[in-house]
Amino acid sequence: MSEMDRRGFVKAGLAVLAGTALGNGITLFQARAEDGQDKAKTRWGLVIDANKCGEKCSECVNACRTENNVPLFGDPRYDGHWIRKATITPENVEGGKSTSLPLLCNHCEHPPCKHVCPTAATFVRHDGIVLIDKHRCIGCRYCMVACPYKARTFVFKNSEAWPNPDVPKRSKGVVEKCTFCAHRLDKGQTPACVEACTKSGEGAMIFGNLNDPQSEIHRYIKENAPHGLREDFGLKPKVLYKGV
Amino acid sequence: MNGEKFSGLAVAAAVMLLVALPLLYSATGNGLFHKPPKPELVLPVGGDGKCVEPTDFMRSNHMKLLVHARDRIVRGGELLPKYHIEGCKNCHVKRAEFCDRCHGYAGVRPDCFECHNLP
Repeated sequence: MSEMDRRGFVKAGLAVLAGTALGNGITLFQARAEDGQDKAKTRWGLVIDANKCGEKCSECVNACRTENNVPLFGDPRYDGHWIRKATITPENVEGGKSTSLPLLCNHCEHPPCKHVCPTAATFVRHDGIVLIDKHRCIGCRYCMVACPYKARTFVFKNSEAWPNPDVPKRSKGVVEKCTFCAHRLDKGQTPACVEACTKSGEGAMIFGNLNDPQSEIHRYIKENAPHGLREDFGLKPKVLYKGV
Repeated sequence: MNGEKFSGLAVAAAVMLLVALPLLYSATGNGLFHKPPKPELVLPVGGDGKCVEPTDFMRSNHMKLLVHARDRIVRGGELLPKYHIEGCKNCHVKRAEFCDRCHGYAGVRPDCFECHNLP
């Protein structure tokens, strides 16, 4: 017991509870589907070095729009955003250095958006990517409320533009968000934003398999210890920031 | 007396006319009893001329295959399933000359094409 801290004790208690049978074939609760991601073969993650991210550069945003047909109507009420640029300026600090960084879906290990979805349209894929099954989405927008990172947008209108015909659009009435370019990952490519960032020479994004000890991202995390935004929520985001 | 007889005849004539109208209308090539011509499909080019399943099966079941494949791909993360809406366009090049003609004939409006691009 001396080695068991509070968290360990609670976990052990929960494990006992989980096995508690209420009746024939009914247990109190079962393990969540997203658990055990650290043991999976692949767990995609992204590290963003805010020190390298240029304040005027928006290559990642543009690349995402073109790749994923994210609609842009010119009216901020209807525009979709899968990735957006933000600038943080410290308040009450004389000559404080402002930081520029892209914000996108953090693909949390414990996604609140998934837990509130009434139709189970949001789900976690085998490689840890949080996806929306647009066929099942009823557009209730609970997930948009639940997401602390404001990573989701609602499709208010069908868009005419179809810059990348190989990737499906979204019809009106569903919620859309970053997919980590799952279709590109399946083909062995990196996400469009990462590719654009590397091409533009900023090199602020490192994408890779968090569970592969040989990967560049694994090494980078070990050496630089980037952290997720608002880690105190305990959602375990898989988009990590350095210099924020 | 005469007036009543006349009105009875008029009613009979009106009823007959009402019954005959749809028949007359369909004789002009429209209407209730007219069957629209079978849709003319432009058969696919490319591939080896064979679909993933026999034609008769595909005609009545393609939508079921697509729905099952959809769940396997989207939720299961399967990469190269046999049935896949994006795979259709390898052979069925023009939607307007194939998919749309039957869908129009059967009066169904699938919403696949709102998001999936089949030109």
